[in-house]
This record gives sequence, C-alpha cells and structure tokens, in this order.
Amino acid sequence: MCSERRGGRRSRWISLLGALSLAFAGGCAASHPADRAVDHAPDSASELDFWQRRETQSLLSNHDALHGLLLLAEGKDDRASFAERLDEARRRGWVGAGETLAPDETAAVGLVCVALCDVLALRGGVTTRLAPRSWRYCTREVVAAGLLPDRTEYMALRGPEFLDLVGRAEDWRAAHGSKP
Amino acid sequence: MNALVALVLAFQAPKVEALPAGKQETLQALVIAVEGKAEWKAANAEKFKAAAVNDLLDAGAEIRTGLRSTVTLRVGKNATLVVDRASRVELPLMVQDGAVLRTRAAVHRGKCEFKVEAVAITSDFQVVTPSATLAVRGTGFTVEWGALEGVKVTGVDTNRVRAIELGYFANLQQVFVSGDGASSSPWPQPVELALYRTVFPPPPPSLEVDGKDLLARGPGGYDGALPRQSLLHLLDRQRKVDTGGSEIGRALGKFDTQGRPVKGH
Repeated sequence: MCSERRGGRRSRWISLLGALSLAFAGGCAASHPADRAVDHAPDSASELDFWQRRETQSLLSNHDALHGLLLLAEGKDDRASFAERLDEARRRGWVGAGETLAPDETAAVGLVCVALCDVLALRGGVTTRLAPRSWRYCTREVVAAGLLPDRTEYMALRGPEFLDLVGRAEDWRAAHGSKP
Repeated sequence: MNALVALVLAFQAPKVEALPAGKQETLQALVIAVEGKAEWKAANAEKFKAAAVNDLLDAGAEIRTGLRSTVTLRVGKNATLVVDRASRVELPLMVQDGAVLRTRAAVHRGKCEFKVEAVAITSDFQVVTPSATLAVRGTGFTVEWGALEGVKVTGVDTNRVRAIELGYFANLQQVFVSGDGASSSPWPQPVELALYRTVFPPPPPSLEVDGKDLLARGPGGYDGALPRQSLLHLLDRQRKVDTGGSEIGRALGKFDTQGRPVKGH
C-alpha cells in the first residue's frame, strides 16, 4: 500500500520534471516567424506590399529586417537573395564578419538598432564610438533618441513594431539628416 | 492677381450650404499632390493602383504610402489630408447629410496630417485609429499610430498643409511651402518671398529718421547695394495686386508709413 503511494508520487515527480524540461527546452530555442514578407514582396517595386504584410506578421525575421533596413537606407533594395543582403549588411558594418545570421530566425532589437545607428549617424558617447557595432549600446542610443521605447538588445521585434520603428527613423532622418 | 485670388480662396473657409432635410450627397476625395510611392484602391477592388494627381476616390477607398512618400487629398468639402510616410489610411465615409458633413478617416498605421475647416454647417469629422477615436471640429492636427506607442496627436504642420492647398487652388500654379518657408499674396512662390525678405530692407521705423529714399543709402546700410531699376520694376509688378502701402513701396519711398503715395525720386 505504502510502496504503491510512493510509486505514484515518483511518477508524478517524473512527469513534472519532464514537463519542466520540455518547457525550458522550448524557451531556449530560437523562435521562427511562420512567414516572411520578403518572400512575397522581394523588391523595390513591391515595397508597399512588403510594409503591408509586416502589419499582420507577429514576428520579424532576419531576412525581412535586412530588406526593410536596406529600403530605409537606400530607398530601394532589389537584391535577389538573403546572402546578397547579408553581404551588404556586413559591408555596411551592421553585421560582423564572423557573425552568423539565419534568414528565418527572429530578428533581435540589437541587430536593428546597430543598423539604425549607422543609417541615422547616431554617434553616441565614448563607448559607442569604441564599440560601434555593440547591440547593447546601439540599442541604448536608439532608445535615447526617442525612437524606441525602453527595450533590451536581445528582445524580439514584432512586425508592426518594426514598421513603426522604421517610420520613426524616417521622421528622425527628415528632421536631423542622415549619414553623409 | 491670380495669386491673390488663390490665396484668398485658400485661406477663406469654403462656402458650404445645407441640403434640404433628408437629402444626402455622396462626397469624394481628390488627390492633389503625390510624392514618392503612393497607391490607393477602391472599396471593393482587390489590387492597389498608383496614386496620381486628380484621382477621385469614393468612400471606402484605402490609401497607402512608402518611405519618403506623401499623398495629399482634399476630402469632402472642408478637409485636407496629408498621408505621410509608411502609412495606410482608409476613408470609409464621406457624405453630406442635410446640414451635416460626415467624414470618417481610419488611420491603420503611420502618420497623417488633417486640416478640418470650420464651415457654416455642422461638421462631423472623426479620425479612427486602432486605439482611439478623435472627433474634430475646425482644427488642424497630426495623428500618428504605431505599434510601439499607440496613438500620438500633435499640432499640424500648417505650412505644409496650407502650401499644398495654395498650390492646388492657385490656377494650376504649384506652390509648396515647408519648414520656414512662407507664401504671401504678392509673392506666392516661397523662394521669391524669401528673396524679397532677404534682399529688401525691412520697413524703416521712421521715415523722418531714415530719410525717404532708402535706395540712396542702400538696404543694407551701404550705397548701391541694389539696382534701382529692377526694384522699381518689381514695385510696378506688385502694384498690380497691391493698392499701396506695401513694404516694398515704403522701402522705395513710394509710400509713407500710412500707405499714402509720396513724390517720386
């Protein structure tokens, strides 16, 4: 009788631990947006479709983020693939040479803020100048410029939030100018 | 003269008369300026089409813009709307219902500037955003809606809206004013007005002190700064739309401070 009770408790503990480990494993995995807007609207001609698709997509993928940021920086982006966009991002210093970026993983706030600091020429303080590609300090700069509410660099950015952020960056650029 | 008429039209509240009770008139929106990438689609249409000046939009039309783009519309009988960058706006209702003008504008995302004029009849103008509805009466304002901070309402950039209206009404003369630029009846073009303000002297505080002929000492306080003939030519041009007493006239000594003509030099 007693051993049966003990066995029941043990199985309950095991199932609880199993559930907890599954929950933690899911929490640590990178999230992937279900759909990428850039797959449906890949070029400058379909820019307005791209922005409209962003309205309803809950998460922002790295590929969508790079396409949107290049549209902001250049006014157009007709590159054919993620690899080409990543090359351009590396050339501009938005992504480090050794950093890897998966196209369908959720874009982090830090990645977008590094690009915004470059496009808007947000200089920041000494730390930002010493570490110009630091997600942490670029995020702080963008928050300090009033473009982004208080966020940390590793937070995920939702599609509509990215759309709003790009619009605010556009306003900021119109008011303050951009990188020469 | 055309410019003067245009300015008067632009700044005067439009005359809107009430319809007989129970009668309804459907209104439209007219595209009056497009900059960059802007598209619109009718209520039941599937695809968007590029916006162009003089496009007429019925109620239910949806307008969207890209980055670095704006589209300006005259909405119904008493409102002007500037759809700013990366925005999507819908105009679900534009109608005059007896003595009431009913307009609804839905800002789904982005930024829009509105100028709603007070007219003789009741204006029921509402701006709907995903998180707030604003009722507007005879005012100008900017509505911005984004996912980061929700709705934000600020004062309108009046220069921008007025300029576009002036550009539209000025007998097909396009006049755009932005930033610190301005437009006046004798000088509708902002560049000309800026030139006038920069090159010509301000009106003297006292003709008795400064003397009647400012050209003798030059507008900047030194002799021969401006060619006299060209100034007189400009004055003659201006007098066609100005009956006297203007700033330039006083500067050239043609009028006294009361606007009365004085003897020529």
